[in-house]
Amino acid sequence: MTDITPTLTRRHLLQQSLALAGASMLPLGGWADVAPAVRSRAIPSSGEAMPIVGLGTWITFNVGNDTTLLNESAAVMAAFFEAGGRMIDSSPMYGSSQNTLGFGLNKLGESTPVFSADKVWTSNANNGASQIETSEQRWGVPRFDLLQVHNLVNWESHLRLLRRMKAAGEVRYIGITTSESRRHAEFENVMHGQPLDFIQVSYNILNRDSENRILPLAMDKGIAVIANRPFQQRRLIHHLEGKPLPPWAQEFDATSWSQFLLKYVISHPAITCAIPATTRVDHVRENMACAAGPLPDATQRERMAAYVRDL
Amino acid sequence: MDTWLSYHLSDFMLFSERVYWRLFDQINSLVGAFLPAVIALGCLLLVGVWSRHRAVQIATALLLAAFWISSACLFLWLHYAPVNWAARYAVPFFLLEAGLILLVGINPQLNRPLTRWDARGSVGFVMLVYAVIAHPFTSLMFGRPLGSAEFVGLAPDATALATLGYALMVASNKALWLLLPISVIALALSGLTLYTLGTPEAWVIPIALLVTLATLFSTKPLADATNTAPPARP
Ligand SMILES: NC(=O)c1ccc[n+]([C@@H]2O[C@H](COP(=O)([O-])OP(=O)(O)OC[C@H]3O[C@@H](n4cnc5c(N)ncnc54)[C@H](OP(=O)(O)O)[C@@H]3O)[C@@H](O)[C@H]2O)c1
Repeated sequence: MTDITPTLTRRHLLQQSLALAGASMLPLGGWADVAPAVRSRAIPSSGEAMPIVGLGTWITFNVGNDTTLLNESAAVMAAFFEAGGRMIDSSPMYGSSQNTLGFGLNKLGESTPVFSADKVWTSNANNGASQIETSEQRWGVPRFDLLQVHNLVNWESHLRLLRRMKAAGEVRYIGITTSESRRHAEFENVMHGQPLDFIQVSYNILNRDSENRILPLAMDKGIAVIANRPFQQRRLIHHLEGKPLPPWAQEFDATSWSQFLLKYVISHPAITCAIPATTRVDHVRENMACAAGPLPDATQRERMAAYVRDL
Repeated sequence: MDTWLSYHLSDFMLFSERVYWRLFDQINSLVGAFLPAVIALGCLLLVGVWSRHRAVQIATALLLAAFWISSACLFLWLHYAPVNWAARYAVPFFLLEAGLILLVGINPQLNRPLTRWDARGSVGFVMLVYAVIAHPFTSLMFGRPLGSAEFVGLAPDATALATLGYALMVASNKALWLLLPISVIALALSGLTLYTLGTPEAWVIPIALLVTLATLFSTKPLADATNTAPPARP
């Protein structure tokens, strides 16, 4: 997948998106002016540009009714948009995360450039539509940009529903997700047999299972890829803390382990967007900075993986 | 290096330790000015369990039952369920436990004789004192602010720990089977949650459960209230 380089301004990217998506995006507002140009990749099925770093919400945004934490989450969202981010991923499975997103979007105003990615996650085929409606209400969005079948739960009937919704203009993109490598064979079958705009898989410097078949297949079939768990739920960062960052990390501007790890993920040409989750404004800025700077090439990537593997 | 990449118990945890402890902050601020009254009511349990008056015994059971209801409503329903959907399924069991405490409290046949300064009664009283007075301060011990302290009547763990103490002191052998299962299961699940969250306080609960079980197995079963008549001698 080709990069859309940061020479374009964010306003241009959004205007391009509007054109490509049939003027269906939220209106431009203050965010477009403050946001720097960030590296984006095109969603193959539409050509819409997507900044390569997004935001996850598993655990981090499940804060219940706690006003202090709700406001902290809104500050993370504000910093994310300010840094040029768009894609936020959630699921009905993530406790109160969808409500937190609704709180944040409401607080930040209607003009946020959010690309709303959510999921359908119910074993009962008949509950899919009502679950999606509830999720929309929680986010406070009229419709989602992307709906994915979470962990392939009841994927046949849910994908039928999502296809119908897409045809009716009730969702812009559809896809499937998994975080388990042991389900890759089934995942691959669905990729072969179903028309999908997006897939979402776990991918990081030590969990490279999807490099073998899933990512090449996505490139072949023109499917956008969201990489979840870039830090393996922070375990990777914990593991590397205190260990020396190799001096050659400077070659691609990685100044911390988190940037080293994230740059590894987003430099794979099949990845459209990685979605690290965080509770912290400084971390979201650090992550978004990866989308602005240089990325490692194929040789550097191999070196990075070998270095971490041998630590 | 990839062993730690495989599944962890924490993969199934929906929320962070910080969010969990802040739930108690929220409950304590919700109760606000009434917090001293809640603590004072907790202290009444310590007095009530010694009383020989039926009315006081019933009032004590009523108070403990009310504590289960309040912790179900304030903690489970209002605060915990939004971050952990499974919490709402525990609510009926908390209400059932409240009912069972009342049943034991109002039924003299389900009480043990008032010789409570024996091994079982003493351990029970220590447990009750711990739950009401000492447990809230564990937050300070582990570097959390007192604002997130767990009080009997508001926090399920403190309330269940108090119930273990109450059961050891008051319940007949049969009635232990009524009072202990829900408290023990609630504490075990909570202990597992704390362990998974990686909080150092996780060890408090297994110790309390072990002490309760050890007390029950090491002390001779006492005669129940109904069997206190001296054996007939020829
Ligand atoms: N099947 C599925 O559909 C599926 C499965 C898994 C995940 N997902 C999605 O993917 C998202 C990401 O995965 P994840 O949340 O499991 O794990 P992750 O993004 O790999 O790791 C999140 C952790 O990394 C830490 N972190 C983030 N940025 C950091 C930085 N710059 N420096 C240091 N620490 C940093 C965060 O802690 P701080 O809060 O301290 O920053 C957080 O605890 C999820 O939130 C979810 O939206 C989807």
